[in-house]
Amino acid sequence: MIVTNVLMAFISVWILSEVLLYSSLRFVGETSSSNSNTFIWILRSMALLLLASTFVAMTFFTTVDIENFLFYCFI
Amino acid sequence: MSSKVRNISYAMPIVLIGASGLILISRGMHNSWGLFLIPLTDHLNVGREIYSIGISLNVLFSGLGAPLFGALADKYGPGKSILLGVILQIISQYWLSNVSNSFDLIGSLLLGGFAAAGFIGIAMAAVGRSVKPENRSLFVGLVMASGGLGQFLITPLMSGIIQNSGWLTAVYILMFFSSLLLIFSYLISFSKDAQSDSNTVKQTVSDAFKEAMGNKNFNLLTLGFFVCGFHVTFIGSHFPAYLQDQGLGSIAGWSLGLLGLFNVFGTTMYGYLGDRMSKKNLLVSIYTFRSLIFLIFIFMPKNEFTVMVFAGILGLLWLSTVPLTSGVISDIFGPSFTSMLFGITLFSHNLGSALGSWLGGRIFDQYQSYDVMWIACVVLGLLAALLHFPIKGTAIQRINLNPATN
Repeated sequence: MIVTNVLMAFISVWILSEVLLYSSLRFVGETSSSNSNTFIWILRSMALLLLASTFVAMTFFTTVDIENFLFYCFI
Repeated sequence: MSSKVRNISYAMPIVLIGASGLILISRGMHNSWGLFLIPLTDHLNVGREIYSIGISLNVLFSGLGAPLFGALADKYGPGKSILLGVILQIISQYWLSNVSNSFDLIGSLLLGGFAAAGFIGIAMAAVGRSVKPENRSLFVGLVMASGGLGQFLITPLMSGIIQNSGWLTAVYILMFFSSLLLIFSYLISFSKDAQSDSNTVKQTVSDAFKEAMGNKNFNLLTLGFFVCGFHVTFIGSHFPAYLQDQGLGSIAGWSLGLLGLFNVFGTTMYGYLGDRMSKKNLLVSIYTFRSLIFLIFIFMPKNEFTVMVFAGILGLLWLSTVPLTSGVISDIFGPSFTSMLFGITLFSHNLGSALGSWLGGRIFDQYQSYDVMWIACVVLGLLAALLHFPIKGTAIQRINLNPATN
């Protein structure tokens, strides 16, 4: 159930970020440039790679004392 | 160093690799400190408060040291300044490996924070000087995103080492990682020197400091960055506990995982947009979006899906402020003293971090709820947006007193 929710949340935020990026680029009139397209595809690939990494990390590193790890993670 | 590399085309990838490696390892190591809490407090037989004090001082001195190391980098070059930081960091880790009382613990953490103080600012400035101005924000964003990757790679590794071989081995591994930074400090030294830009007026560190302190745009930017630290550290330190209170503790890891993932995505995206749009307006939008997201989160039902969407969206806006803030400084003052000036804003950020972390705990102890903190996040986010709104990101006009520089 958690995995389904993670995927749903990932897709939701991804769609939102695509809308944000695409509308921003449209605002400055850059949606059709090959430069932007290349960047967007690199970004998409990176997001998928990171999603896969997150699944691997969360599956194989279940021994992490997550509360303490998270507590100082972003300080 | 002055005669080494002045050709941007081949210096750029070297500096980029050096800066990314530096940020990846230093952020990964920094994020691992929480893992040492239990083994070190058990080893010394002291309470967790001692370790918390050490971490607070680590953050505070990281802020205090940022402008100092930045000024050193601007005067003597980024490689030498980072080298000094790395040596101090290795000494702090060696001190930690011989910890025998609370003083050693607090002292080594404090020294470690101070040592790492300049890494982000110097790396950002070195990259900013080494790439073409039209791609500056994107590359700074990419380097900052590598910090998120460090979190993925190094923190789980350190956790595994602590569990299997003990904290002492883990500290030795950290010293090994720190020694790798020596290589990256050499690579970063290939960046253009701060004083080598022929288009800028020659200034001393003191002149640049006074000029920035008297600049309204810089002061507004610094004040706004305080809010970034407040938001980020409050969420980082209290969000897992908040989820626990809501009966959603089981998804804390996944939420922070999604936050970290979209942080990489968001930092790169905003870095890219920063080269095409007004950086100041993007900062206004980030702080406004943060406030909106916090406001919606206060009222929305909390379940696995909504919490993870919240974390993901927050991730998009997480460290996206860094390349933009660094970019605005560079746009206003030029690349000469970016390390020191970004260090000053980083000090403000870390003050916000310390306040966010401490106030979150204080308010929870007082009211047994984080409601006041969520409202504070909304208000401060809007305030930061308002502070950024009047900033003019255009270069300041200077009178060149030294004709030889023209």
